[in-house]
Amino acid sequence: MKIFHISDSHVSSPSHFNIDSFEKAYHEYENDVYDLLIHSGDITQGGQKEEYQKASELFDKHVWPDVLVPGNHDKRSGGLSLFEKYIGDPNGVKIFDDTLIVRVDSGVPDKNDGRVGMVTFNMVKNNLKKYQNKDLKILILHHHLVPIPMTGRERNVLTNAGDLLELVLGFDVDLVLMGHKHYPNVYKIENTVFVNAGTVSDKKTRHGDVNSYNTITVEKEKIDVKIKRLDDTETFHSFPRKEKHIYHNFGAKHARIVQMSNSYISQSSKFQKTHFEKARSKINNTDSDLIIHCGGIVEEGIKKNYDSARKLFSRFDPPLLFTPAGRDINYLGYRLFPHYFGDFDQEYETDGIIFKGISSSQYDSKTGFIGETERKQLFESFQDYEDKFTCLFLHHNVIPIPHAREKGLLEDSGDLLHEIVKHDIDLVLTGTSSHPYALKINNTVIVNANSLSSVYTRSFFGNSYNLIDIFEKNIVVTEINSLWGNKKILGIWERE
Amino acid sequence: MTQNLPDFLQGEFPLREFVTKKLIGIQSSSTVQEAAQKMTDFNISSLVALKNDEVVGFMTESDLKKKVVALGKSSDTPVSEIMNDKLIKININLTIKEAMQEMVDNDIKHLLVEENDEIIGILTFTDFLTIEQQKLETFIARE
Repeated sequence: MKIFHISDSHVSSPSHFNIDSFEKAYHEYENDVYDLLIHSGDITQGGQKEEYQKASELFDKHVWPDVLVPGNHDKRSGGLSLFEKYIGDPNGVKIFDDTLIVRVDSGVPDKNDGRVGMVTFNMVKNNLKKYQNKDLKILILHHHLVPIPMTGRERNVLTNAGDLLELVLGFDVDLVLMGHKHYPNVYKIENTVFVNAGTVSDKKTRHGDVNSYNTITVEKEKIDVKIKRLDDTETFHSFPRKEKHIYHNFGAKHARIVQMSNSYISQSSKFQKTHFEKARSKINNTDSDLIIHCGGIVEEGIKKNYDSARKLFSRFDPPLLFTPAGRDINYLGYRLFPHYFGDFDQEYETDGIIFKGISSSQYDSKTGFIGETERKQLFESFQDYEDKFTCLFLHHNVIPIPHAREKGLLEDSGDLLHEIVKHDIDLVLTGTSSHPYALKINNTVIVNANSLSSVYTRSFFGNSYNLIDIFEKNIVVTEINSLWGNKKILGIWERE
Repeated sequence: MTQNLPDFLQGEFPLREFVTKKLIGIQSSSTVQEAAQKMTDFNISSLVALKNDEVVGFMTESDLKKKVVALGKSSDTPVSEIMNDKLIKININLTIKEAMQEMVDNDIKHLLVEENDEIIGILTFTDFLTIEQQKLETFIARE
């Protein structure tokens, strides 16, 4: 199957809309044979009647896309009713041969953020369930599900991106097509290919980029994606469709890492000391090489909490690395953290593995930021360890977490994620939102830790920590319940 | 039987969304001692047995107990000697409820999950206890 994927045409006045780019893209579409033409939203600039009329005329002149979804711009000024009038139902399902296409309206009227409401979410879920045996499953929506590089601050996010991501991966969707940020990008997460189109014809591009579109070819064994820029350059990505399920030959074990987060130590009932102590006892008996605490050591950054935390953490046998969450460095915490637990950016090396922490937190703020200078230095420093297994740890999440409102808390997560993937960092550990989650994006395994011992957990499994076993050939991540010690494998991946 | 399930499992909850699509295997020519070590390392209660990358059998902790220890067999016994070569499988397109019914019908606590004739995951009885455990944990750990 061949798909021609455009997005963000922003049909409007010439101040926004570049008709030449639009015509050129259509010319290229008409010069080849495609099975599907997809438009992933922001058809118009402001959801105005004249813009919908103009877009309709252009599609009449050429050919209407087989699937269109509304973007945030299309829903401005009551534009949804015009979308319905000129284009049709913003949500729905298309089935042909052995292919399922689910289209989703992710826009919120007069807001740039996105949201897939409960009714639409259930529509997606029910159709993925009903047609789960289809060979090719495609989801189309406007907003990006994972942060996109080169687009500045992470904003205009899909607030329930984590839930949708979990749904997509859970139901083995093959392809997710999006737009929104006017920058083309492709990632493979687990066995799903996530494709963002750039803008096909808006004059607002990023970093002096030009307009672009994507072509996607789906075959039995692989998915090929070409980002085609209108300056006649292209970028090619190819991903196998076959997924490995059974693992048996792990090779020698190189390290066992304990990952924890949000122990939340305080004098209040929000800190569950029994959970902490039981987890500590188990960890001291698991022959671990290192413990990495991904933020949220204390409930608030005050001396009394830090005194307790130092005492409690001194009873762990393996060496400990810490990175702060915002709450660790509020009040006096900014002074107490380095005094009690060491540098903000900590580092450790063992048996061919390099661990580097980066402090993403800012005091008195839940939002995080790395910054261009520090990010550049960080990845330059990783270049010294190209032949080693590399692990980056920080507090803030770089991919959306299920069951938590995605707020784009790490403001430069798009660029950070891009650098992580580009540099093939083997393992990234984060500790936001108290929900355990692990996945592989391109060649990088990303693991988020649940709360070790606070009452604030989002997991049905209860409070927990993660055991990360690094073998010669595989990485295995297991979630361990803090209180009982029962285990659940979060994922197994081959090392690249 | 399914009437006593937690609310979460009462409906037509899809197996695909619930099951971990990764599982751990061992060569059928390996010894039961190696199998026990693998189960201990990963704290799992079952393994699929492989020969030339094909699944040829399935073994559980219970098989180790009944077919090795209780009979006084050597720890060098090959997995192929104690594994179950009749594989009880369920299609991933079915529901949790149907999977539980399959377990009841076959009197088993482990069920292999397949898609397109390939084994892609495993469902164990303890997977269902997660939700109830959270309620119990909250009760026990009140401080």
